[in-house]
Amino acid sequence: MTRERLCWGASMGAMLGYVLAVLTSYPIRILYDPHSESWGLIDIPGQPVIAWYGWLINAALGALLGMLIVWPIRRPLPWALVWIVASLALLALGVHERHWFRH
Amino acid sequence: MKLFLLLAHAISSMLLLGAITHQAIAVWMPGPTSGGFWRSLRAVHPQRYVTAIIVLFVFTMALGAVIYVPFRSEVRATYLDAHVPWATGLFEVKEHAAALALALMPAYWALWRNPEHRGSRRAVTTILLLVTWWNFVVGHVVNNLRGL
Repeated sequence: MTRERLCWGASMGAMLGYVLAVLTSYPIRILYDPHSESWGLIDIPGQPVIAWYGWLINAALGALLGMLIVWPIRRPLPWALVWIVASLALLALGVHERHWFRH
Repeated sequence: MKLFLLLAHAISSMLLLGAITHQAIAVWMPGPTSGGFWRSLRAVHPQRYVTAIIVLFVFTMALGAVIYVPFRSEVRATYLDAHVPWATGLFEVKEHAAALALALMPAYWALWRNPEHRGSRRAVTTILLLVTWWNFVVGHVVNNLRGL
């Protein structure tokens, strides 16, 4: 039961952490520069940097936080919320990328 | 090396696609244990796919994350963004979908261990099915437009 509870918290936390990072750059925006093979926090003008790895790190932090929050709760968990949040997150991130299709 | 990783990524995603599709068919249309091809397809034990699907998903995504660096700097930056931005958009959605599916893995594992939450298990499996198909198709489309 505890493992299932932690899984619920990890999934919810990771999804919320990822969406928050993509949409708001919060809590932290970590960038990888493939040319210099270095990590940083600020965009390099004229150079493609990778934000995706940083978003995944935010998701991992969200998963840890989610597990910590859920750990002491002893009430039944709303499992339906997992797929509802996942569906809404997919929708929100899809809308967030709509500018690529306007050209 | 890039080509090898790309091929491994493609083969792994194909195996994942087969496994998750098979599981989803058995979840939505469970069938009798004997009969022809279609009935046999529906009669598999879907819970036996769970570990394979998790391992294949993590492996496929890890390979994708490795080849993402040359893709981002050589393919996307030099060609896709300027000439076919809609392909970049499709790929961005693919990245997000993969990340959310990875986030769903703990819940997916837990839901398949507990027979009580049948509806949520079916829903999460369906989301993973849709994400896997989307990522497979978009990956092929983008690679056909400008591969590594």
